[in-house]
Amino acid sequence: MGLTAMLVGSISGTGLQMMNNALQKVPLSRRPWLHVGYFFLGGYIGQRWVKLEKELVIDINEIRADKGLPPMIATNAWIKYENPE
Amino acid sequence: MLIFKEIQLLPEIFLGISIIYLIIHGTFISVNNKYLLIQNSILYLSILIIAMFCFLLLNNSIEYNNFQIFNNTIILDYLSFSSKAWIALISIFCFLMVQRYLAVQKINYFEYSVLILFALLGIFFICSSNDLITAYLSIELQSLSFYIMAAMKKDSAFSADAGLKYFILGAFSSSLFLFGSSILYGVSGTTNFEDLKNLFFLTYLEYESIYGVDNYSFVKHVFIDGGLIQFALVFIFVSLLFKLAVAPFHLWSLDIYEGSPSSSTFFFAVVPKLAIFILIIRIFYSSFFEYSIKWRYYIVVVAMLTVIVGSFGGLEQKKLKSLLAYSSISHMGYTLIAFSTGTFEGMQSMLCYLFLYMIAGLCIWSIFLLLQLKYKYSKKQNKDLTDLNLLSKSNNILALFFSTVLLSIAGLPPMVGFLVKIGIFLVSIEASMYFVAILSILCSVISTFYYIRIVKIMYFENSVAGKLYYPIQSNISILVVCLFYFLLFLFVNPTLIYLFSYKITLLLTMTVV
Amino acid sequence: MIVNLFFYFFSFILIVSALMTILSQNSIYSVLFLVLSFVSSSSILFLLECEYISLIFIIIYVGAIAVLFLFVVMMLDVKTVYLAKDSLKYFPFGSFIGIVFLIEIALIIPTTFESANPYNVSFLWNCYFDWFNKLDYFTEVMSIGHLLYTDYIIQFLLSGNILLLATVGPVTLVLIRSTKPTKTQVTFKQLSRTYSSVLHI
Repeated sequence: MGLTAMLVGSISGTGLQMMNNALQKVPLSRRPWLHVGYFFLGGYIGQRWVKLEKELVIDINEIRADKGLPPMIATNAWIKYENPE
Repeated sequence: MLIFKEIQLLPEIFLGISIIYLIIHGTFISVNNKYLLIQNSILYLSILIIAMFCFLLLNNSIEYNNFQIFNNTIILDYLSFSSKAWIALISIFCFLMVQRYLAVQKINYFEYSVLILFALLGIFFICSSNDLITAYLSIELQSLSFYIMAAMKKDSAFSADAGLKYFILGAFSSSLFLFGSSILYGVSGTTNFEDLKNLFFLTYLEYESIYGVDNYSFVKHVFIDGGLIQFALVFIFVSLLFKLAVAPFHLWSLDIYEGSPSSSTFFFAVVPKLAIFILIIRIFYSSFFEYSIKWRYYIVVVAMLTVIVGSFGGLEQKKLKSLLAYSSISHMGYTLIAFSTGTFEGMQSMLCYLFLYMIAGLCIWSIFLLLQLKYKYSKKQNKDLTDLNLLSKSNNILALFFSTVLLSIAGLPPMVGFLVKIGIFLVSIEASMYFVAILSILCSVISTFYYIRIVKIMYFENSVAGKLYYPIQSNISILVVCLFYFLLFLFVNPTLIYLFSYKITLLLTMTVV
Repeated sequence: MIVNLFFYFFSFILIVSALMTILSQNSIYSVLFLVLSFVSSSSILFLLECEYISLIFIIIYVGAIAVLFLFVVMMLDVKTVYLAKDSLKYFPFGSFIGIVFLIEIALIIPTTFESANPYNVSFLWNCYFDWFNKLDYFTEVMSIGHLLYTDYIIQFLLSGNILLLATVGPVTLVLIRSTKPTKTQVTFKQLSRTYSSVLHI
């Protein structure tokens, strides 16, 4: 899962720089170091994104447990979530 | 940590102190050496200040804890935390977008960014206010700086006009707020939202179920004068609706959006709405939830009126700014529909809609600011719709972005605007408000017309000569590209924003749903 | 005793200045007399130990409203004219309105003030013996200060910020930073120069 997110993030990071160049009406490969930079930045952001989602799901399930509710539907299918009890 | 918990307000205190330092710094520099333009450096400094604010806020670790500090007048919970972080992020974007516009329009006053910081301070205090006095003072701080920002373009009569109009109507709505809160204080003897919640917790619903509907009048007379409270609530609600520019009270917004400089309009349209909605949630949803049977009705009426006015009013507009003002009015209407359900899902979809509204508004206004026309009189700031003539020929990607954002606002499927809008319709159907749902869907279809008309002007207009635009700076264009990308990406993977709003709503509601 | 003397003194000033507000010919003088009447009435309130209300009276009426009046009067530049003719003309109507108000006040005072104040032995008697004040004496201003600097400190700071903004903003709006005019050619001006228009004898 982390690998997919990283891949999507990296590709879209590079694509963003290409779109950025297209928006300024310069050739798509202008400023290639930015392509590389956004590639790595995008990968990092993708990983953080997935991590944030997981943390949110765990937090929400904790809060739901505090309020006496079962965990969210399809939590297990989505991430490996263990009930604290 | 618990001993000195007042330190949790450190971000706001830091912001306030650094504003004063900025004023002193700017004043000394601009007085000593004449004609020194420090506009840009102060603007970057204020971006740095907001970033530091974000850093301090995120380090605060007040995720679940429901701190009430400073004699229970400030509340720090997840709602205020997340909204403050979101507003700070959006305002950093605003600062970056505005910079070039200010240079072109020659608004070379360093006070401009200081005023934005003042407004942000007020907005952050609105988000975490737990008291009617604090709420009033912070609204005043926010709106006073907005009045000055509206009148900031000194050589334009329209701008001064807009500032004066904003001032008069804002003062009027503030006085309504004060009147309502004084009645509330007279009835209940407290201004604190937490105390109000405890006071009115059982007054309405529970007693009805305990004593039966017939004996309800007994309870009403003994405990609380319900009618007077509703009177006060209507006044507070109307004043907050003035701030939101919602339909019967929307007339100021068009003139002011049109007249004030575009950078200020950008700020008025995007940033403060979320904070005002959080105040509405705190007053109506948290404190006076027991009166929801009563306040629901007038919120529904106002929301429907807003949606209708926002959809039909935009049809006639020739100027892009007032068209966007009407679009913002109709969005506030949709958000109020979600709020008026008063259910858990309603809150969630309302927060989702507001977050996405801010992203889309940011995107659309930044594209608006990017389109600097190469006129002889380049100071022209209000764009007619025909100024976008043949944009697809001159800058195809920008036209693509603009049309995508417009369609996302209109709520067409491959963009995230569709998801949040359908969320609102589903919520209103779920609360068995069928008529409201049908009417708002129809109005949404009508409002799509004027979004599509812009797309048509950009792509399919039969004219020989288009307009020329200044080239776009790279640091700004990457932001626009990012915003555009998020509008598309969040349609594919909207999980994060739903989870985020779900968590906020879960922590907001006391009772188990 | 001395309090009562002060009361007589201030109420005399109040009545005289209120009369002079109406009677003086110069409108600036009448506004200044209005300020004097506000100040004397607030000092009467001081004698009645209502410090907060008297201070607010001075701040709002003198500081805001009377200054506003003064601004308007100075801006309008009303010429001092001899008003005796007009005052004779308006005398019947004015006296009628005055009599109506007098009757209203005369109707209100006996019904409301007689039974409401239990310490009201005579009209001026207000120094009853209050043990609470003797034992634990806080003036109003003091207690407001106690509340303001402890419980409501953040509101105090916020209103300070609002005042700062209210000083910064108007200065920003009004201040015109003098810039030298740029030395650009004005093409229209140059082209429109003709031989006849330039040469003056």
